[in-house]
Amino acid sequence: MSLALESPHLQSAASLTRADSALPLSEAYAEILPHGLLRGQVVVCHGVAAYSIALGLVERAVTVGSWLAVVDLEQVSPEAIAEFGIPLHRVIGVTTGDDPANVLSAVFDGFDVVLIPAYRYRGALARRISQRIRAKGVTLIVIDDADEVGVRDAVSLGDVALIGSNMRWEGIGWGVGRLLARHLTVSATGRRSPRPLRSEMHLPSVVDVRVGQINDAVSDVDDDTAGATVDDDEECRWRLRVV
Amino acid sequence: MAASGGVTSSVPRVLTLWCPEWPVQAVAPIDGPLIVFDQHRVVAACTTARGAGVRTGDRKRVALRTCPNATVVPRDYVAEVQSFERVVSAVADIIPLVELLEPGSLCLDMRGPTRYFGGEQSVVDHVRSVVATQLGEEIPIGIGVADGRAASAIAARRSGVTGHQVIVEPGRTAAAFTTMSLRWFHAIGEMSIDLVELFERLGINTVGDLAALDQRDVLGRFGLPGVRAYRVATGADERPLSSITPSQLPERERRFDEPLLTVTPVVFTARELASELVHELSIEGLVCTRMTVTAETEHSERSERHWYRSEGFTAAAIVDRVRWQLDSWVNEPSSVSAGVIVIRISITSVRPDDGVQHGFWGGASEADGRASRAVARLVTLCGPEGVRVPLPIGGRLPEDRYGWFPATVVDGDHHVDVLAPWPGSVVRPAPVIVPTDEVCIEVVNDRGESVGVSGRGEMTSDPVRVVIGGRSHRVVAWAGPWPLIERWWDERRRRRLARLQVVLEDGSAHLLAVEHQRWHLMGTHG
Repeated sequence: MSLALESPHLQSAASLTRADSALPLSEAYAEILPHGLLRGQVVVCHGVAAYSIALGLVERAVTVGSWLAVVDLEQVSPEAIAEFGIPLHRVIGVTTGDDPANVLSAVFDGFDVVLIPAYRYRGALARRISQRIRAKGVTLIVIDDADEVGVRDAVSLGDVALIGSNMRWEGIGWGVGRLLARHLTVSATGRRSPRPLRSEMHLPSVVDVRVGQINDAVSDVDDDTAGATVDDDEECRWRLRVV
Repeated sequence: MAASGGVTSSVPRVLTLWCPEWPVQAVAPIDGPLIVFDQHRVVAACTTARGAGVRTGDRKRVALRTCPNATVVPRDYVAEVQSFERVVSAVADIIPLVELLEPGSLCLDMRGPTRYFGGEQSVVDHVRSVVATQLGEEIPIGIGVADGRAASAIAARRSGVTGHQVIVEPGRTAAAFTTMSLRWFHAIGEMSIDLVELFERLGINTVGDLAALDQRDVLGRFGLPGVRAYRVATGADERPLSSITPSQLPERERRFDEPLLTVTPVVFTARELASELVHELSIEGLVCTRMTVTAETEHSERSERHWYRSEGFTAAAIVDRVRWQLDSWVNEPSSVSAGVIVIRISITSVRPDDGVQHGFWGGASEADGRASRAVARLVTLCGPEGVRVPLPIGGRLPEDRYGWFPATVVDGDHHVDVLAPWPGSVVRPAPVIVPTDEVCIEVVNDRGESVGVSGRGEMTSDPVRVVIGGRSHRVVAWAGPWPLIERWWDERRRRRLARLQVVLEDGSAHLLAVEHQRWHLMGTHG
């Protein structure tokens, strides 16, 4: 019986609802969010790596077909979004202007995953938003990178809080090298799991960080690969083998 | 003459008036060739530019290569509707119940007018003369009369090209259009370009080829859109209504207690009404193809227009029509003397929804459809500048490499996510946060003196602390500097700077740059 249920062609009703109510996650995040990235949930990302944690969190969901709205975060670089492996043609940036409540509810109508800054998720507006996202099945990711702005407020409203610690940059020394990769531990605390779960990961993930230098010092082949984004990973690896 | 023809057909006779290149006519006359663009594609061009080889649907740079001295104008729907308004009112003066198809095109039911004016030829002559008085003789117009909307739209387009009226005798549609290319069906919005190309790949190039097939085969192979095309090709009414007309077509009206003096809140209300109407119809599996939009002011001034769209009105399309109508109404001199108190949208014709209006950026999944509708709605809420899509541009600095562009001006098929190599750029990982405004910072050494980069590209001393926003942070690691000289040949745009990566004690990493001896923040690995 249980064997039959594990077959790829048969799915139990329970697994169907699970797939429906949760968005997929990459392996590193699946360790700390065992229930998946639930629809209707508010995830608050804290600390200096808040942006990277958020982008890594949504990467898999957007790759498999969800749309991502980046609201009031004009400073987020599309290049970094692409480097995290997120297909840019499913990303929309929105500036809410004077009427955030209305614009946000229009955003929730159309997008599965929404990124907003912490100052947009406070007070009465936050309560309205959280009701709406539950109704619409939207996953809301709040980015709270500033230490003074309403941290406690955002935590009390979020279902899960993610924070990075033990941050270590590889490849850079005192006057030598360059930034290659960030290694950090992401821990999740939530209403359902008071004991924090931790996972060690690289953000952005280390696919081809060894490729390329500041380009004037390297060969033509490296020039090509250095400009490539994640979409070209396969090609990068191939080229590396050739080199 | 035509009304009493031998063929008894339930298909209504329709006259379509089509002004070729209306987007060009709506622009004030300019010396030299003129090309109108919408979303980077040519939508219309003047005769000179056409003669040079500019074609509708060309990309901007292709068109400008063909016709380099042309003036380029973005499409302005409001101006188009506004300048078409006088044509509409002139025709409506002699024949009521004029339906607007789009700016530059209208159609009307011939049954009443034919009897009143005594023959179709006479109606055509009257329409032609009132339009000519409004527009002047030199502006080309096309007038076509045929069975049903689609056939008469094709007839009008043919007439616009040849300059002679085209009247297709009742029941002769198929015979008249036999040798015409199926591309016409795309031009009048009856068929998607994908379907036209599919037919062409299968060797069905002309209307006659399509009409020669068996209807059951067409349905089996091409589904509903195929059958609709087939019905047009064979001269049957493109949209038989009999079986699906619901008992009562919905209508929505909103009265304002306080007269509204600007268009925006009226349009905003119309958006609500439109989404209610579209939702109500969608429950029954219907879309609206024809509607009447009415607005009234406190002083009983009234604007009423009928709109038709063969592929069906989405909520956004309804709102667009309302805005066009109201904008042209209030801008007309001496038409409005008080605030608007009523807005009403009545659906006058529907058809089964076969989902043709989906598809945006090649979107196929349900999520794509939902997102594209949300984008359309957001554009109306936050304005075109408020909704942006990320695209690669190319450059060496984080702020140059990618950008956010208004979603409304981006080509739908623009999918390029990969940048060409840019020697001299800082490679992976890219900073996640790129400040939109310049953030000035200070970089100091252990004695508290400002650190610089020498002409030989070396640090004058080790950077020990970085001051960002008035707060001082200790540097735990740094790398660089990497000098960059861009466009040294261009007096105004040249840049000479050096970049530095630093990791601060809190674990954050930043990309800094010094230019003209001043440090600023280029990006943060947040």
